[in-house]
Amino acid sequence: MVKYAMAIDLDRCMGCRACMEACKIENNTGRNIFWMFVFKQESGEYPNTTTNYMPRPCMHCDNAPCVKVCPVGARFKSETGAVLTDFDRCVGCRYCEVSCPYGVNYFNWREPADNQYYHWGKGEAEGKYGTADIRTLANGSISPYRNPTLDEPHGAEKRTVAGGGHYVGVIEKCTFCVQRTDKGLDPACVANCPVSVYTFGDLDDPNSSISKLLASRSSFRLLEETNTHPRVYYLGTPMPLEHRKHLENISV
Amino acid sequence: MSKEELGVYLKPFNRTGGKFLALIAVLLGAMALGGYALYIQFTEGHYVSGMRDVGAGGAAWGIYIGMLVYFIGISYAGISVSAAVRLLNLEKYKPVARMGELLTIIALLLGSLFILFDLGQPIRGVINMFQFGRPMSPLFFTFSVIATGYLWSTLIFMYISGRRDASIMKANGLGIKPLYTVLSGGYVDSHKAREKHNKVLKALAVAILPLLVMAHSFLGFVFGLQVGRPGWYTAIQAPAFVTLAAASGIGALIIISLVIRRTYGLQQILTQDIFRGLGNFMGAATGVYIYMIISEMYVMKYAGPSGEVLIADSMLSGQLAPYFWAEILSFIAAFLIIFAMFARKSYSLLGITTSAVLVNIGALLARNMIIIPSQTLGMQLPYALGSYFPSWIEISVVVGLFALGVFLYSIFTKIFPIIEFPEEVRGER
Ligand code: SF4
Ligand code: SF4
Repeated sequence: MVKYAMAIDLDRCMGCRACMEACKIENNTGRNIFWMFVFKQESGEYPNTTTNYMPRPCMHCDNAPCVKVCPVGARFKSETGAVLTDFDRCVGCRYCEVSCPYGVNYFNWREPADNQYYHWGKGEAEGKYGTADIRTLANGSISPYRNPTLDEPHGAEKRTVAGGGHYVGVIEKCTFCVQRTDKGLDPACVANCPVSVYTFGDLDDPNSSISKLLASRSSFRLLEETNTHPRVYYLGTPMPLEHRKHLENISV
Repeated sequence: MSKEELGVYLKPFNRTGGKFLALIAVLLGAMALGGYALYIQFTEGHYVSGMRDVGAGGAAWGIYIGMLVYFIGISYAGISVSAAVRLLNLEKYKPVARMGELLTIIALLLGSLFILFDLGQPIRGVINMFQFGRPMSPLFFTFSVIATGYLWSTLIFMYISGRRDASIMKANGLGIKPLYTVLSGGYVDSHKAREKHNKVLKALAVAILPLLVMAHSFLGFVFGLQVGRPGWYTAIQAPAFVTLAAASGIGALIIISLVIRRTYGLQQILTQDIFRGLGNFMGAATGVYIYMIISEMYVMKYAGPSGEVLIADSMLSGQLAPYFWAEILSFIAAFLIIFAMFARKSYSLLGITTSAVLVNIGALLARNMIIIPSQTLGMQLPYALGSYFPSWIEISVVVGLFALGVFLYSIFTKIFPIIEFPEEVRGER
């Protein structure tokens, strides 16, 4: 049995957000949706200020509030320990979203195609960077936001759980890149970080790099007091919580 | 009982004036607006609402959930009054029993519609809830206990308690005959039948009472069990939901029965005595609720973790202060009005109505103040604070559904006796 977990070394992160970009490309998520998000904040008082970065995927909690509250079992814990969403079953109640202490869920407020970058959607066919322009740029190939392999079923129960942008009115979030881990690859964020902030692997295997890393260094998890038992471990210096200032917001 | 006295009970059927038709026209207009807004919402997605993702600057549950909670709260009135009549033999309240039952049914219907319109995939919602429903989710009980169990049992209750009246209407050759034939369900009024009728209702009332507490508590648990949302996670949530349900539900019943009393001239039946009793109960429940808010705020502000302190500050003196204080002051004013009348032992209908309206304004604000700040301000990771305000689409849907409720209520008063016939009225010749 594999038991996937992720370790994030905060001392290494330099806030380049390559992971966020890799996630978007891998999972085709639309505007204002960040399955992987890197907090950037300034703390301290002038002139003694520091800038800190903290990446935040879904924590894939072992005692996940989101799994507990889903009224139809669309949010579930898979065999590998990843917390996944069955996009064919989700009714869009957003209870998982409000129950998650980490704020990692994103609802498809509108048709995913309409929510893509460069106004790819059907309503905005023409004009600058409209569909026509992009199709020319892409040499008439398929739309860049739609990757048909993401529709394939995964896991023993064969459920539609991979990638984003499936249906309007359905919740989506980080999947630990189930479509990649099933093939033995690392998640996209892990594979694309230029300074190896992330370590991903199997906690049940004592020789895996993550097991060794967590055995050799002290780590912490976010909001442990909420008893969610996250599968994402942080190494290094925690983000200061006093005198902090956001460097930017995500909002529409 | 003479014909004239029976005639009093039939007053609503006699008066269908221009005013009634005008009201219906206005309501239909409001419903059409709501329908149009819904059409936009389901073609464009919930993007047209004011809701956005938690952490990305918004609230994922907005006024729809607020109204759902409000209406489920209102539904408290019916069964509690009916149960008081049947179980405690408080015959005094019999004239408002059916109004309460109808209020329960319509409020539950509106509540269910609010859940449905809040879902991103409403059709799946209905199907999957049967196919995959998980009792572990507090929301499951909102669907099963409230939207189905509570609603159906109240419908059955109302049907059975209405059989006698339907048969009396039929026997006296009044109103729409085929309808009453169906509704009376073979009931023929006689002394024996009446006794059996009362017994059945008593048993049903006992059976429904636990549902009453469960339904309102579970709605509280939907929020109270969420450790991830500061401000929601508190053991007082379920009892507080039941208490506010009692206050606002009885308040709504007071308003409705006063409107019916005035429009149909039923002063003889709906006596001041009834309103005094209802008003006292509402006042007491409001008092308890004020006490609960104070103790909750005190804990949040004094000992709360940072998230809760932030929310408490915002409510007490920050951005949310106008809403919060409007809520608290309406509750306090409502309570004081009732208390003053109680102390002076002289009640006025104006005072009771004012206080009922204030309680309902307070309840509307309170429901939304429970739900929204914990999402927009209650992030535990360093996201920027968010905000939420309903869009015109959401407001139109709310107005439309309110209109639907009033519409159904008004139509009902025209086709069925809204006040139960007293024991003396005979169905047999
Ligand atoms: S981080 Fe949130 S969405 Fe992810 S498993 Fe935990 S509770 Fe669920
Ligand atoms: S939004 Fe979907 S996945 Fe989330 S709780 Fe509701 S049904 Fe489950």
